[in-house]
Amino acid sequence: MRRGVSDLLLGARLAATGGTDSRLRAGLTAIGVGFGVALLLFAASVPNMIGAHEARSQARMPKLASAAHASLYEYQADTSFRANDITVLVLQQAGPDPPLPPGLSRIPAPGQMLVSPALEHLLQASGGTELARRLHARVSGTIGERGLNGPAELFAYVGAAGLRRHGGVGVRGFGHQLVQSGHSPLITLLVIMMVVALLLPVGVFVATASRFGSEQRNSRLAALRLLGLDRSGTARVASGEALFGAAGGVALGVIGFVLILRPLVPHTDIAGVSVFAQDVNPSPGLTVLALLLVPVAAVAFALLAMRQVAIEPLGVSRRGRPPRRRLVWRLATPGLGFLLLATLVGAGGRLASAGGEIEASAGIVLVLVGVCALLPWLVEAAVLRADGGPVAWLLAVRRLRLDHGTSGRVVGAIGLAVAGAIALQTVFSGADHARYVSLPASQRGLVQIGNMIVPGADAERLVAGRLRSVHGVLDSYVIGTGRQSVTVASCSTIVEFTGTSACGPQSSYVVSGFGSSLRPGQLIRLPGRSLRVPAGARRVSLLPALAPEFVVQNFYAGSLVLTPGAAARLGVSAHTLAAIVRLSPAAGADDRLRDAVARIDPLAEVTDVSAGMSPRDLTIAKLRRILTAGAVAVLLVIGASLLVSVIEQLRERRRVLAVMSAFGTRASTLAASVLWQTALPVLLGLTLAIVLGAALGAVLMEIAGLPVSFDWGSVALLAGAGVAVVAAVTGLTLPILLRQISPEALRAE
Amino acid sequence: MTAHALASDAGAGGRSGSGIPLLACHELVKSFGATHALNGASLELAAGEIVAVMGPSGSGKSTLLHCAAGILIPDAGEVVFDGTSIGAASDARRSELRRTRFGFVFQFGRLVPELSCVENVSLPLRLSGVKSREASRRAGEWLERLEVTDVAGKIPGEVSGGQGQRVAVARALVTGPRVVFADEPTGALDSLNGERVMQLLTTAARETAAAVVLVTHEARVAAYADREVIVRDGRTRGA
Repeated sequence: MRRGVSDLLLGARLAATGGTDSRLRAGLTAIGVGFGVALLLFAASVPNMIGAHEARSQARMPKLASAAHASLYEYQADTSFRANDITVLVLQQAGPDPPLPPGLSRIPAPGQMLVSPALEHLLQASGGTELARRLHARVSGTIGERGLNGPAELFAYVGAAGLRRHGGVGVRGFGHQLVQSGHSPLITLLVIMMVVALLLPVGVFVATASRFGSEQRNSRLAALRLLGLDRSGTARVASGEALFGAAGGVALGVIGFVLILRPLVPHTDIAGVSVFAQDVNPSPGLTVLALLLVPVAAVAFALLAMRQVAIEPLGVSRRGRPPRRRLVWRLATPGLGFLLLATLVGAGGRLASAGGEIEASAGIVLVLVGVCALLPWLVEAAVLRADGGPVAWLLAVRRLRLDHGTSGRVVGAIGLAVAGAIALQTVFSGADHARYVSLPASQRGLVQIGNMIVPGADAERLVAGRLRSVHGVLDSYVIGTGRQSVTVASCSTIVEFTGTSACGPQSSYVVSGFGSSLRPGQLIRLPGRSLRVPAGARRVSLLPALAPEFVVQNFYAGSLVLTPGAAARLGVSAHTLAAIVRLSPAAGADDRLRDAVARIDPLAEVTDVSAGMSPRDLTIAKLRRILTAGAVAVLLVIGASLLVSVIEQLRERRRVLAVMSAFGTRASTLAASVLWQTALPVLLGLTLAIVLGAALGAVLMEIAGLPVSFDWGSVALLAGAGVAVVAAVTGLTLPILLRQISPEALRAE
Repeated sequence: MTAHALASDAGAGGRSGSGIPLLACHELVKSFGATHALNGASLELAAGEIVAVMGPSGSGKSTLLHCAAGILIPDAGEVVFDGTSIGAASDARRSELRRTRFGFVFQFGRLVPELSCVENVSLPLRLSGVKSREASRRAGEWLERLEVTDVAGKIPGEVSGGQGQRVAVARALVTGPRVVFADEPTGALDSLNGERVMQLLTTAARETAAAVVLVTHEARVAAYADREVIVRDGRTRGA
């Protein structure tokens, strides 16, 4: 035991005092480990970040009260300004001591608003007055951090009157606890895969960094062997050396997380989602795991690398031909992953359970790790069959034959990242495709406006006129929405949305369709009165292009639709007005329409049907942006790994390179051999990644119940990015290669 | 006849029958920072002649060899090969010379570890544009001459030091060089293997009329040479 500790300490001392190479290796290991630790600490914070986000959302969720007894009314009137979604909650004090939402010290008076700092900044920016005018309120203060989900949230509490008429709800307090419905299977799958795809390349970087300068380390260990150190002692000294770098990395990672990553988080806004620094707290259990796992991994990688050489008292020799790699377990890894995922196909509900999540995580991890496992075998199989060709090719192929594991591992990270990204892009593409299919051409550009209260007998005509005068509005259809399921609409609107050709001044219709039970002659109850559906009401259907979820209030299957004349005859008046507007894709049309609607009724609801984004779709959009940022970060990490790996290979081979240069080998031949040596595994890796990534994406789409479609453009882009990384790495290592074969280097040999 | 006697017989030495040396180094000066490695060293080598360059460690032996082979450019002085100064030649020209006219043997063989022994020997031929099959055939012949046919398909990590050094000698001679530069060719071998390597090297060199510059500090090895040149403090004696 004492001997073991002494060997470990000796290793650490050698790392610290063993010269430039030792310190460089320790430094690189520290950077790799530090990067991994910081990233893992961040990943360990994600559960708390999600928890804090949900807690903040729930803290401002209203506890409803009957309107008669409420001292506060609330009405949601979200808007959008220059493609920024803004949450707007309109408040109206209705009695003494109203409950205060978190982050507020008072309820804003009518015409005043309290805004989040991010919204205040937006209002101060160019165009901000336009938005303030739209909200009919001036800023009178800001919302405290307690009342916001994140620092970049665009949020406003606007004071107003007359909320009850608009359907404002009575509030008795805030902090309503919602029963969590859990994430959709698709979101769960995406998050799992992104974490795996981001973290595994960091592991590869740690492995590569811990091998840097290993030749010099091995020579030193051989010298210690001569002095009497046995094989296990050698391993302990090497472990001590690796631990020295890893310990530095842990410190670096913790410092990086606390001083850099955590303070950076509040400044990061992905699709409007942001997090306060105080919410970025790693879970204690996961933190301990990360702090232990990464250094242990660094030591394990260093020891694994030593298996390729024999460190004997008289020197270090590379072991002869490496043993052939076994295919069975390498194929079994992705195979088992696909098998696990296959059991989830058609069982989307099971995915939401804890067991399902574990099964999906394991499946995805196994498939992605399968890329790393299969690649060294694939490279080996390829180089064993590749022979002949020019000298540069021969040198590269033979080098890979002797030591394909190193390149295979590093390139495996590219393969893993590309496979993960392709699978994700396939899922995104499928999700987009599904949404696109549900949105026919007839609905593109449609915006629906609801809950407009406009006094006057000719309100409909007035609203229609105002909407049509907005630059960019192509068509508008205004309907009156009565109590319950009664709609008042002009003949032109009825014809447009039902396809009927028969419409007169006194016409009435019942809209049939899924779940429709209304029939002519039936008595329907309205507040304070009853109404008999006219016996002559025609049955009509909404055009199939109009999916029910996108149709303006009350104009849906099961509703009674009356022309204005028929409504007047039956004594029915519209409670509120609604409209469907078709917008041109011209820039700014959406903002102009919202401004116009705000002038008609500031509390009207405007929904962009053509965007057609459900909350789930929005989450996918956020994840897509995270993926792009993540892919860039991963490619940088992998590029750094490749660079370190190639530099290390050049350093290891400096004697051979010098000798080859001595007997007249052209620099271009040596450069080409380095390029082939890097490019061959990358080409194989990308091919494997595309095949497995597309297959994984297809299986995930089946699990999520979405149609399978591939985005080949993204595939080509990612493959191209991988090749670009290799080209950049080769270019960056060329000066080192040229230095190795310069006369000065030859002299040193 | 001893090597020293041979050197004495050669007199000014290193001259071919026509009186023009194959390789001549005149008053070479070479410094590395503040270290003066060569300080007016000279060397002449006749075609087919074997010259041992001797001297203590750090005396400038290897630097003289590197300058003579066109690996290093001297700060002053001139290196003339076959009547042409190579000091002013371009890097490409000097590389071509090393590829086609010179051969090299280093202390540890320095074989390319990922290539088999026969591929290592055929490599200089391949670099000179000889087709793969022909290069392999000629490499096989040289391996046979140096009695290492049995390791032809093995990689350097799988052969002994003596075998590896014989493969290195084959690699140096396979292109039919005019001059072989051997830097401590037996430095890493036991005496028995060292003797065998020197016998094979000198015999093969004589058979192909290749001149040899043999850097060594072992008198036993120097005894294989026609004459000795002593290097001390960057200056030569007996050149």
